[in-house]
Amino acid sequence: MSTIALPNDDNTGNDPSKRPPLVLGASDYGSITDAISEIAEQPTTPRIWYVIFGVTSALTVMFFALIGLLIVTGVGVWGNNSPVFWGWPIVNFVFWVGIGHAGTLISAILFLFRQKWRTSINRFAEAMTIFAVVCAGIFPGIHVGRIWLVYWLAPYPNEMALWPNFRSPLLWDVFAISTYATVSLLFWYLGMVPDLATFRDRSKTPLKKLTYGALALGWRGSARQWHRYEVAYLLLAALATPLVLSVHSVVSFDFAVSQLPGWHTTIFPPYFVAGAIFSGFAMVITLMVPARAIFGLKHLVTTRHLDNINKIMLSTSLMVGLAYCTELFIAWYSGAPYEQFAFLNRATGPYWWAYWTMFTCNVIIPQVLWFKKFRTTPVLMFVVAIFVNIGMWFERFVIVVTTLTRDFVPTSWGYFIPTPVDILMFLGSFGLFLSLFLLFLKFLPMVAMAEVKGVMEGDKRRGTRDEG
Amino acid sequence: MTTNDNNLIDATTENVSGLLARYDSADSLKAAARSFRDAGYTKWDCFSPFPVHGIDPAMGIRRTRLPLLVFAAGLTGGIIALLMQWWTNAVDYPIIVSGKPLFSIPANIPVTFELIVLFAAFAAFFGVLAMNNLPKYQNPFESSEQLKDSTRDGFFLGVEANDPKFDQAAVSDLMNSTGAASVESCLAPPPAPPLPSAVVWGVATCCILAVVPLLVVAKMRVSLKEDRYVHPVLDMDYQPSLGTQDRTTLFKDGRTMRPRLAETVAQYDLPRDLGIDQQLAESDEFYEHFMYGLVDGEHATSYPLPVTDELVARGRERYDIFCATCHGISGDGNGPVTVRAGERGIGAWNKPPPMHDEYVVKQTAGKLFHTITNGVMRSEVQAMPGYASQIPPQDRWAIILYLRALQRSQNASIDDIPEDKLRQLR
Repeated sequence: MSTIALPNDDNTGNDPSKRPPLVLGASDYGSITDAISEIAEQPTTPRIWYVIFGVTSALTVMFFALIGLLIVTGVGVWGNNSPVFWGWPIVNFVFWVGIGHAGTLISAILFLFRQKWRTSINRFAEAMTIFAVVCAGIFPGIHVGRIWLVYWLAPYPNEMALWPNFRSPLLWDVFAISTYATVSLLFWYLGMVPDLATFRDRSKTPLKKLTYGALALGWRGSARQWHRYEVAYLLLAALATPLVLSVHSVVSFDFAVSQLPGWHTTIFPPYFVAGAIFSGFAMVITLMVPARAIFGLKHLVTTRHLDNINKIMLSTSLMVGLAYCTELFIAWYSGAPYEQFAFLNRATGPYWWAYWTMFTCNVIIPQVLWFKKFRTTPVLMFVVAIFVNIGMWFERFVIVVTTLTRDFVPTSWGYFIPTPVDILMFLGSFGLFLSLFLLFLKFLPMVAMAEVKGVMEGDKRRGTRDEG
Repeated sequence: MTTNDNNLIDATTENVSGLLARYDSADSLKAAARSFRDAGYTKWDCFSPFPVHGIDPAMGIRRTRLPLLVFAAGLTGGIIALLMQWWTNAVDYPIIVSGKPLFSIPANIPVTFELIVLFAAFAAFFGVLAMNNLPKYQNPFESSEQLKDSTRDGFFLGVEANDPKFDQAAVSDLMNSTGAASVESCLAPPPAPPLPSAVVWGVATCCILAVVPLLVVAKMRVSLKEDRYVHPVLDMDYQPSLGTQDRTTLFKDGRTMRPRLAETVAQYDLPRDLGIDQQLAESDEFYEHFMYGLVDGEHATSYPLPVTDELVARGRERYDIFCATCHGISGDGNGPVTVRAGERGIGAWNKPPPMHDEYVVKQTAGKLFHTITNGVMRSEVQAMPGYASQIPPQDRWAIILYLRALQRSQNASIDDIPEDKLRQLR
């Protein structure tokens, strides 16, 4: 859009005659390698890491202690009760799974779209996916009540001659989430192998040599290896793309396949997927803005990258807003009294405060992203992203709880109040997520160096690399 | 031995494993690759920190067959998923859930799709590792310290010594002529030292020990156990509710069970109009006679209650309710249940004997009382259940009285009929 000359560290211009550089500054392959590797190689980690890790570890310990309390006492420690049998645990589950989807989108879908700017953020985002799926998988596992029997969900031959019910979306969920966790892990690890080889080749201590060496599987970077590797990467990306769309659709089926007003609607699969991408990108911004500042990655995760992420966030915010309005329109247009009541109840009933929080945070506040200033200023986008995270949690809360508190028969109605265990477990899950993430930042290559170098090569050949 | 100019110092040792050339850029590496491809070498490779665009045709690398493998695996996953769902839900144990069809493609697609993706992803991941021969912790050029730069910013081309066309001079000349920045000869890596025997023995011991729990489990699966099995999850075994004989602080006397309040009636209390409460409480013999049908430890021959018309009528009513189903209205053993068992050919049904059979007629009242209370065992099977929980003692005595009347009815002669009734018969 702008054709004036921009300063050297601003690559957000959209001059069609000059493709903007994706790596800023006088970088070459060596300096990029050094920049990323030194983060993991520092003999002394910056104190801030320890401080934050201390806090998140404490939250993680609290999380597991509360899970222990849950197993010993029972699901009564939560606020789940008639009629709201699905409370915070399921809201948290959908929240975390949704966050995970952004990583796969960046890795797989942007790869298929040949968006080269993804290379600076894809490792980071995939790690976020893995850890979000870990947190997500815990909640349905522990909410079943008799957790020691959770293996009954798997189709194994047993003395009761019973099989799972494959017509149930809850079982589809088991397969979907397991597949998603596995495939994401394989994709993430395969992507890391060349970078782990870099770490291995730079390791000085025997322990590091052994560990990174074992993990790198002996990768040498030979052309024949790269050839098959690229094919495998492409195939995994092509598999992960429909997978991510299907997984959150299956999660939405948990609700859509039921008969409850407000749940039983065909808009749920695309609505959930768009919402997942939305919340996931917000979490990427939330994590990336501080990380790039702390670890000095502004020349790799440039303002253009942040600009692009914010554009995706804006577009998914509009999709989600459209979905809200569509639901309201269809509720009116259908003339179905239960459907109409369900949405009137959401906006004006006892949970009106949750609904309007959701609407404001998800639809109204992100509209500031139309303005370039907000898309390119880290502090401002961080604030918007926090609002989106809050709003997306409330969206799941509104979906799950308002429909359950007031469904068909008024005598079944009830108001849901979370217990302290509900709230602390949610906070604890953040502790687990951030602890794992901090460990990733400390020990593993947080940017896909090989991929960034490959992108730079392309820039060089086209003569667009910034030599400044 | 390394050199910074373009001369190669001949290696004097014989265990040269290959020659490694370093190039300044990806483009010069590609150009060199074309030369080596055209020269007909087969055991050689290029090393770079990222996949170099266009190096596959430059080296003459054929396209990998990994996609076929992934496709086959995905197809397999899909077929397995469909078969699994069809067989488990529609054939082996069909359960009707909300009227949904036992097998329908739309409902079974999600799991099928996920398994297609899962199998295909496994094939892609393990396939690429297998085809790349990974994990492989040795390569012919690893003696070169420079090669470590191949994961940073270095571009290398290496020819292995066991290539059929390998000739040290020819290869190094070609490397130099294609613009190599340096040429290095690599020595074969020393053979890996054997694992220390302690490690081998340690691993073997662990493997053997790991099998032991599995064997124990297998043994337990096929054997019977007399005691209670280990029950780690207590569920609701221990409940805070109080048991009958528990101590409690809720009441002053410390007992959980409370004594009967005045004017209340316990479950098997007698109707007051029988007038035998005091006698029951005071006389052990009467208690035994009434409650157990025992006099001096033997089956009683007399009745503890006065024999009246009302008692017999009561007995008839109770007999028709409790006993006639099996024994028949007339006590001949052809009650509706027995008849039905005969119609259905149930051989296991114990047919009750007619009440007027001599051996039943000879039984004392106390014996009959015992039978009603405890039932009858025949050939180690409970032929008749005990009715103690359904018929209170006073009703049992009433039934016995009526039974005598039934027996008399089938064993009577014309002389037993009183005068006034005789006239009605004539």
